[in-house]
Amino acid sequence: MGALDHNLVSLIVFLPLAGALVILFLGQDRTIRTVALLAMIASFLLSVRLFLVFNPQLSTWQLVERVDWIPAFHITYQVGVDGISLLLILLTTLLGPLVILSSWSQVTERLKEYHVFMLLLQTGMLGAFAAMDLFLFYVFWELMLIPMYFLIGVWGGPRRIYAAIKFFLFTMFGSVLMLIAIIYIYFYAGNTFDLVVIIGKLSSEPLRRDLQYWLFAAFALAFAIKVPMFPFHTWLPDAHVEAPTAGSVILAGVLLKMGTYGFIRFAMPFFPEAAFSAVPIISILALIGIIYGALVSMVQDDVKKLVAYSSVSHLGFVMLGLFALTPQAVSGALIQMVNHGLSTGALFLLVGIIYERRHTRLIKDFGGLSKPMPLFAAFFLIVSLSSIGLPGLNGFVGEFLILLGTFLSKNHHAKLYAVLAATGVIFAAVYMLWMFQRIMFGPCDKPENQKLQDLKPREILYLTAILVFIVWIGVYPRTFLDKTQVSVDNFVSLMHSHRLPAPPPAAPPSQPGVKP
Amino acid sequence: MNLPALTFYDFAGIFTPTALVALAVACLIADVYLPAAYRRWLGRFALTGTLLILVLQAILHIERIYWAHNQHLGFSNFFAFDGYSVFFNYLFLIAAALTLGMSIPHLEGKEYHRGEYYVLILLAAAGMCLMAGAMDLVILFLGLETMSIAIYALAGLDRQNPKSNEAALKYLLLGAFATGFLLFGMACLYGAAGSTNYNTIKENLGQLDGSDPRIYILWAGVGLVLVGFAFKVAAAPFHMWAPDVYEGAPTPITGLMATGVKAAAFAALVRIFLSAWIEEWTISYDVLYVLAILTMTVGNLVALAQQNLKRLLAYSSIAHAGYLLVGVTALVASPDGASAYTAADAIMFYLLAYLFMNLGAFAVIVAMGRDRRGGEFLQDYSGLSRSRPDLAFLLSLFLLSMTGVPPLAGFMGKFYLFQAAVHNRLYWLVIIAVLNSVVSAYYYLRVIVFMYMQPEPERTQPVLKDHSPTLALVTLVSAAMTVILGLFPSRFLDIVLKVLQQAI
Repeated sequence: MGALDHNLVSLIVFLPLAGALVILFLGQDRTIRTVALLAMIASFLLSVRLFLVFNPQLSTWQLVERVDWIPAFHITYQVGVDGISLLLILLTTLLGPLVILSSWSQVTERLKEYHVFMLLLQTGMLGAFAAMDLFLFYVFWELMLIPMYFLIGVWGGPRRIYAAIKFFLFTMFGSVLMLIAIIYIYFYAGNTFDLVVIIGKLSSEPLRRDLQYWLFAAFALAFAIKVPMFPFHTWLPDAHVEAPTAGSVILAGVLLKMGTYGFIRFAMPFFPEAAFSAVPIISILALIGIIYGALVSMVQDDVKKLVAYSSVSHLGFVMLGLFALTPQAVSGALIQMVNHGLSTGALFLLVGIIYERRHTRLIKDFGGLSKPMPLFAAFFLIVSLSSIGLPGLNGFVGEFLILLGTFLSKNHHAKLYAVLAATGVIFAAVYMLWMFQRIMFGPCDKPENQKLQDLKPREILYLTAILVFIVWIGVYPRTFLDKTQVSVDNFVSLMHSHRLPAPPPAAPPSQPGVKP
Repeated sequence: MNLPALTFYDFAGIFTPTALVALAVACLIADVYLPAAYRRWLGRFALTGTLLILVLQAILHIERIYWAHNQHLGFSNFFAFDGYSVFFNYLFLIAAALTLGMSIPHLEGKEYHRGEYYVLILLAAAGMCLMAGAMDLVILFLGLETMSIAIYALAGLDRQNPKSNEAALKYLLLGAFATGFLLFGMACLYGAAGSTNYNTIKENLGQLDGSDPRIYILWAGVGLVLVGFAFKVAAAPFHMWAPDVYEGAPTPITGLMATGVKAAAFAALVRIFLSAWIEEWTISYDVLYVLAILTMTVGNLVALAQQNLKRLLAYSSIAHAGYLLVGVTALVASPDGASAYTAADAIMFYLLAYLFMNLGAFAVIVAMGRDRRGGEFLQDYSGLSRSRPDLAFLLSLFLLSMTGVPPLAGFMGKFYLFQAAVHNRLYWLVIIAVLNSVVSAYYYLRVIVFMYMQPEPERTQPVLKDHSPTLALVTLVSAAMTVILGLFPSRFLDIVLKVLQQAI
C-alpha cells in the first residue's frame, strides 16, 4: 500500500477525471453509466483509505504531494489533507456515486456529456479541497463552474438558462476579486502561492490593518456568495430549482461547503485581525440568513425551493459557528457542513425521486403519499428529522455544538446570537414537519398519486448509504470529530493569538483551554 | 557618412520578412503563369511556404546561427535582431499560417478566390515582422504601411458583397487618417530628438530639462503616436471602424486583423517604450490608464448587445485590446527595468494566447459557412452541439478561454497581465479589468447557450457535414495550444522570459 499512499490524494482527485476521459470514447449508455459509477466508487474507496491512514494527532498537512507546475511564478501542484479538509473530501466522494445512481433513470438525454461533466465537477471539488497552493485552489475553484453551468443549463428545468447564467456570473464576480487579493498575497509572501509558507509569513509579519480589511473583504465576498450568505443568496433558489436532481445534490451537498471551507481555510487564518473585526457583521448576516431562510422556506409551495431556502438557514448556522471562534463551535460548524451535505443531499434525492414519478414538485399536488409509498415516507421522515436536528441523528450534533460554542464565545453579544439562532431550529421544525404532513398524510385523493410506485432497490441502496452516515454521526460522532479535533484546536488558537486586546486597557481576556 | 560594412547577421536578421516577401512574389508569378485549373494549389503552396519559413527560422534560432550576441542592430541601427523580434516573427508566421490554413477551405468556390489573396496575407505578415524589429521610426512606418495596405485590400476583396466594400473603404479612410496622426507624431519626435532612431532618441532626450521648449514638441509627438497606435489596436475611442470592418471582411482576414495586426501594433509600441525609454514617456501613463479603462468597458458593454458573432468577436477584440493596454500601463508605471520586463512579458504571452483562441474561433465560423449553416448570426448556432458536437465543443473551448476560465490559455494570459499590474500597484485598474471579464462572461456564455441549450432551428436548406482537412488542422492546433498554454505554460513562459533577457 506504500506506493498507493504516496499518491493517495492525487488518485482520489483525478480518478473521476480519468473516468471522464474514458467515457469520451464510449458509446453505449449502460457502459457510460457503469464507468462513471466505478470511477466514483473507486475514488470513494480510496478516500476511506485516506480516512483510515490519516493521523488525528497531527494538526499539519498529511499525505502531501508536491510537484513544480509553473516555476516561472513559483506555482506548485501541491495537495494534501488536514483535519478540516478530510471530512469534506469524504463527503464529496460519498455523494459522487450516489448522484450517478440517482440519475440512472432520471437522465436519458446526452448521457455522455452529462457524465463527463459530473466527473469533471467531482475532480474540481476534490481538487479545491485538497489544494495546498493558492493558485491551484483557484484553478480548481473556477473549474467547478463550467460543469455546473452546463449541468444546470442543459439538463435543468424550464428557466434553466437564466439560472445557469446567474449562477456563473455571481460566482465569477466574487472569485475575480479574490484573484486580485491572491496576487497581492503572492507578492507579500515573497513570490509564493504555497499555503503553508503564506500562513507562516502572515503570522510572523501581519499585514497592515487597512490592507487586511480590503483583502479579507475580497476573499469573504467570493466565499459569502458561494455559501451563500444573506444578501448574496439570490442565485441559490434559482440554481437549485432549475438544476437536475444530481446537480442540486452536488450543489447543496458540496459546492456550498466550498464557501464555508474557504472561510476557515483562507479568509480567516490569513487575516485574523480583520476576521475578528468582521465577527459582528458576519454573525448578524448569518443570523438573518438563519431566520430569513427559515421563514421563506415556510411559505414555499414548491418542495425543491423549500429545501433550497432551508440551505440558506442551515449554512447560517455554519457561518455563525465558524465566527464564534471557540473549539466547540468550529467543530460543530465543520460537522454541520457534512451534516448539511448528507441531509439536504438526501432531501434533494427524495424530491428527485418523487418528481421523476409525478413531474411536479408542488406541495398541493401531493397528499397522503405514505399510503402508496410507505418506504419512501419512512426515508423522508428520517431525513427530515435529521435536517431539523432531532437528537440521535446527525443534525443535532452539529447544531448543538454550534449553539453551545457560540454561547460560550467571548465575542460581544455572543449569547444573544446563540439565543436567536436557536429560534432557527424551531422554525426548521415548523417548515419541515408542516411540509411532511401536507405531502405524506391526509387523504390520498388524487388518482395519479394512488398509483405511485414505492422505492426501487436502486433508490433504496443510495438512500440507505446516506442514512447510515446520518445515524452514525448522530449516535457516535467521535469517529469523525476525533479526526478533526487537533486541526480545529490549532485553527482556533492561531486565530486567538491574533486577537487584539479589548478596547479598554483591562487585563487581556484569558482563554482557558484555548491557548496553545 | 561612412556606413559600417554589412555582415552576415544583418541579413540573417531580416530573413523572415525577406523570405515572406520572396514567397509572396513567387505566388504572384505562379498565379499569372499557372493554368486556371491548378490555381487552387496556390493556397497550399503559400501555406507550405509559410510553414517552411517557420521551420527554417526555428532551425536558425535553435542552432544559434541566428545571432552572435544578445542583440544585433543591423543596417546601421535601423533594425534590431534579438529574441524579441524572433518571438514576434514566430507569432506572425503562425498567424499567417493559420489564416492561410482557414482561407483555403473558405475560398473554395468563392468569386474572390484569387492569387492576390494569398500574396497580400504574406505581405501583411512581412510588414508585421518589420514592425516588431524596427529600431527606427522610419522602418516602423514602413512596416506599418506594408501591413496596413495589404489588409485594406484584403478587407475589400469580396467585391460582390457591399459590406466588404464598406469595410475596405471605411478602414482605408480612417486608417489613412490615423496614419497621418502617427506620421505627424513621428515628425514631432524627430523635431524634438533630432533623430528617428530609438537609441539616439533615448540619448538625446535622456536628460531633458523641464524648461526646455523641446518638451512640448515631445509631448505632442507622444500623444499623436499614441493616437496612431490606439487606432491600429482599435482602442476606444478610436475603435469605431472595427465592428464594421470585422463584419464585412472575409472571415479569415477578420481573424488576422484581430490577432496579427493587433500583435504587431503592440509589439512596436512595447519596443518603443522599452528601447527608447525616457522619463518623459511617463506622461503617457494617464492617457494609457484612461484608454485602457475606456477600451475594456466600451468593448465589453457593447458586445453584450450583439446578435452577429463576427461583430461580437470584434467588440470582444476591442475589450482584449483593453486588457493588453492594462499591461502597457503597467509597463509605463514600472519603477524599474525588471518590472517593465515583467509587464512586457505578460503582453507577449497574452498576445500568443489570444492568437490561438481567437483564430480558432474564426476557424469555427469558417467551418459553419462551409456547412451552409451561416455562421454569422448567433441563431445559426442553435443546437449545434447536437448536429456538430465537435464544432460546438471547440467554439466553447475558445470562448471560455477568452472569458478567462482556468485552466485555459486566456486565463494564464490574464493572470500574467493582472499580476504585472498588481505588481506595479495599479489596483483600481485591475479591479476594473476583472469586473470587465465578468461582464464579458455573459456574452461569451450566450453563444454557448445557443449551441448547447437551444433546440435546432428549422432550416430551409439542407446542411452539410464538411470535414476539410486543413480547417480541421487549424482548429485542432488552436485548441491544443489553447489548452497547453493554459495547463503547461512553463515552457512558453520560459521562452518569453529568456527572450526579453536577451533583448533590448
